[in-house]
Amino acid sequence: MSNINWTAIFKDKSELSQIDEEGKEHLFKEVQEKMSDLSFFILKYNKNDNYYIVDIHKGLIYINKIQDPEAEFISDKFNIRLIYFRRNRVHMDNNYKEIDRDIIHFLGYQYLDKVGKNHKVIIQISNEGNILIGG
Amino acid sequence: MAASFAFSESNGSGETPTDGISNLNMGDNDSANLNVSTYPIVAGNNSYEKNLRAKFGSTFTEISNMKFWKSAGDYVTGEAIKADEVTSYVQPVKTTSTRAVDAIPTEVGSAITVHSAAGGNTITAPGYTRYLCLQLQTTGSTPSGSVNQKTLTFQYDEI
Repeated sequence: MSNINWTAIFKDKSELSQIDEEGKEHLFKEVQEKMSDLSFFILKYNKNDNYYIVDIHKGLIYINKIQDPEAEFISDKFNIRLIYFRRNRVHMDNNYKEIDRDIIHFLGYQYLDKVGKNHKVIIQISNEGNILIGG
Repeated sequence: MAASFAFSESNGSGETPTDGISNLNMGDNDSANLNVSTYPIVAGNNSYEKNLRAKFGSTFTEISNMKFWKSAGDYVTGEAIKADEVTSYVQPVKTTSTRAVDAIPTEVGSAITVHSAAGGNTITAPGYTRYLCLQLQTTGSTPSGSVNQKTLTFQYDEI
């Protein structure tokens, strides 16, 4: 069971949450269908108030709070695109009985630099909320 | 909603699938959830092949990057597990498998790439993967008793 849910914020300020206010669960496909209108993509860790936020316009990743700290080194980035998926690993012991499942959230973006070379910036977030940068 | 995941084993001449198996014990019988004490493998013989599939259910957008490998555990002398992806079901045999012929990979980098039942790299609706055929093989030098604990891992990415 994932401890992290997503919220997408679009250019018109509308929001789409994985679990909406009525408790309905939405598929990521709904975000994909409006990807060109996406402004921010937010993962919220359910066990505390930690947020992991991708700014699709600037090509930045914030942890917990947007614009704190203020970004001082922003390079030219073009065609910024969201990267998000959950990696599941189901482990089974020698009796081949399921004994464990790891879920890692991959969050980030990819972009083209001024010479057209593609770059990826990704953080890995464990289901316990721990973060790996630069893997 | 996250995809549900279960292993399914198929057995018999006409293929009887058992979804949500509780174990994948390998022994001297073609059956799901078998008891290894009842069906031990005599040293020098093989287990019956296992035809395994992953089954994804519930609602999801896409499953991709499916991999299968042995992530931990050492063999005892003369023991080996062979595993390959196969496209169709064939009734399991205990003669040396012609379907599970490669040593099961031991690192994610060389893991078996698992495809959808239709052969694609992604799954976008509830259903099965292709079959993973496994066989435990021994030699006359394999010691009696239980083998070492091993961990098998199935990986997939989901959105």
